[in-house]
Amino acid sequence: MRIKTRAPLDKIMGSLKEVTLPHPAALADLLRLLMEKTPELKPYAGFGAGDVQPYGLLVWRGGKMLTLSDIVNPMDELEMIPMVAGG
Amino acid sequence: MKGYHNRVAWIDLSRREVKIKPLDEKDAVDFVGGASLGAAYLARLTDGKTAPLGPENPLMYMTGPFTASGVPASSRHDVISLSPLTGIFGESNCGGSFGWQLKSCGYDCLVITGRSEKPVVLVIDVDRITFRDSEDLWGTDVWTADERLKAEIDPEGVTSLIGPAGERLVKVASISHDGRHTRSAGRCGMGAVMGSKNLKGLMVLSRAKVKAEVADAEGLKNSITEALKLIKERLGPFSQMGTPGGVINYDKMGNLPFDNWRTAQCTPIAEKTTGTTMKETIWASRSGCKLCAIHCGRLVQNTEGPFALDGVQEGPEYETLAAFGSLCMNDSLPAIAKANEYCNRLGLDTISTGSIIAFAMECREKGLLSDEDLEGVDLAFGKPEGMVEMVKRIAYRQGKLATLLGEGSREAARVIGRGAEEYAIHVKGLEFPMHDPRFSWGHAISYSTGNRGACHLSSLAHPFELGVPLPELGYEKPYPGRQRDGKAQWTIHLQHVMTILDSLSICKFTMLSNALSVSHFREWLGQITGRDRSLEEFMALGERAFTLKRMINNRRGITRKDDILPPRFRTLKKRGGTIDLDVPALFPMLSDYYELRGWTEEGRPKPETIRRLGLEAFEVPRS
Repeated sequence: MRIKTRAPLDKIMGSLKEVTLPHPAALADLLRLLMEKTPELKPYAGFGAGDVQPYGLLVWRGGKMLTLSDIVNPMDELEMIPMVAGG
Repeated sequence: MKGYHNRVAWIDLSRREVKIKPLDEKDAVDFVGGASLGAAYLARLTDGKTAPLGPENPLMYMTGPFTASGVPASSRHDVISLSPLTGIFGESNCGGSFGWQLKSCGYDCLVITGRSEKPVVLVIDVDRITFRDSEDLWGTDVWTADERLKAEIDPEGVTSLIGPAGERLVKVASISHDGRHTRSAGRCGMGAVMGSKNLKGLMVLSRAKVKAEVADAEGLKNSITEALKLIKERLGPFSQMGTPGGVINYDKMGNLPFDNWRTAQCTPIAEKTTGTTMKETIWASRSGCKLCAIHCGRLVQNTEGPFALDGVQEGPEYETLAAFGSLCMNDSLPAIAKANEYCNRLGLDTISTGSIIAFAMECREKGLLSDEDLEGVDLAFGKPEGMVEMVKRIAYRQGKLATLLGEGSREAARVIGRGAEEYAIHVKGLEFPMHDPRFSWGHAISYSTGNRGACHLSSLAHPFELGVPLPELGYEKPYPGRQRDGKAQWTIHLQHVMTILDSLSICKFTMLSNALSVSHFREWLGQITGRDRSLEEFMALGERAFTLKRMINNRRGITRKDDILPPRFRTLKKRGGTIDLDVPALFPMLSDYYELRGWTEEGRPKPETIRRLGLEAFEVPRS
């Protein structure tokens, strides 16, 4: 699958990444793989037991926001955007 | 009780008299502190007829047991009064260092009444409070007054000041704290209350470091150490990006308002005004409130162009970015920062001011404001020059239109008439914050029923719909954003949690990313005060104070008829781009809400509800 990222994630893992995952895989699996390859991603992509979203980013497939348990597909084009829910 | 100094300063400006009285222990037990204790005082000191800008309306600075206790993100205080903007209960929670320093001076709260004959600044020291004649400061902006007071009295002193807007009783005037590192008590027009008292502001001196006694200091220290690890682990990106980091995602979700809440999505504007763009352009460094572990603030600078800033200063946070950005269809980050600078210096609430300008833009577009009415200001959507100019004019009441807009969007719409009411986006007179209730139905309920009017902080629903569970209250997962069933009960729980946080005085952002939870706050309250509370007792603190605020509002004429979203949010679906959001099922959810709260159909707490919460003493017979 292809993953597009935005600043500051692009500085950590590049602006576009091709990733291959065994199928079926959940978003949580994808993030674990990415963090294994790029530990600097952990502050954003990390998550704990029971979490629905990672600490500091959201992953989008088209107009749909994914949760950690959502299945990701080999042909997906995902967008990874740093998230803070303040205001 | 531990956790307090048991000292309340009662300051009569008319007589220039200060009395220090003990904090009533029952009040501390029932209301804890902060905005909740402020509500209890306000209920006793005012009635249904008290004029918000009259000398009898108290202006109160409230700290809580967490303030300056070592608990993370607790340098906060509440400013409480009747709001001249809404005419009802007013509260404004503020960070920075003022709350921390006030508590360190040995005061739990200040209750300021009366009206000074001449402009005055209160100088707060550990053993005395003095009155500094301040005719020399009247008319100055906040930063100038702050610098002069620091040069004259205490370079490390912390100020709370109004600017020209508050002096001129502009209804959306704020109180600015911490000088250039501005933290505002922005909402509800508290700056106008201060101005009505001829009070330019307060300065708390820096030398005092009085600590309130803590019941279980060791236990508290250990618990905080563990909590700090969670904050560091889970809120790292929030620290890096600050609240502006939310703009792009909010655009994609449909949470970000555009075009005075008409357009569903406009990604190019979001791209140009988001936190990452700020980082690449006007960003100078991170900043934070005193002893905060999060540091969500941004300092900005811009030396070039028509919107050059006056030095390094606190930059716009999310609400301000959206209010002066997407809401006004403005993609100029420098213009947003300049509007923010004017608000901070001249003393205006950025949320209300941006909203009122967007309202005026739509009135102009619909032909309700003529070129003559606009008095030379190009007040069109997407024209930042006119927007920034209007901010300044509102603060100085310069011209007929700016003077009218400074009365708030509800009053401006009433005067303009001819259907302008449809474009004024407020509840009970308080302009909307920048989260769309069509995206978050929790906000649909909490904006409608918020005791100060449209308030996102009364429930902070959206992060709890996106990713934060409330396991202590039976919600193991985040609650779906747009689901009617159970929404009222869930929102009530959140309103109680947020009410409690405002009584303890701790930043609500500590709950983001599932970092801290209700259990932390309950444990710390017990460790600090020495009084353990069951979960049920703890949550009752929120219900009691929320209900008392409603009772204050009932006295002032608020009923169910006022718990309503503007027409736009009841009829206009949010569709466009990738957004497809229906209008919230407001009326059915409100019916659930009243029943669950034990309120009458008319929106008044029933006698048995009042009894259950021990609020009989605040009940006033209906005339």
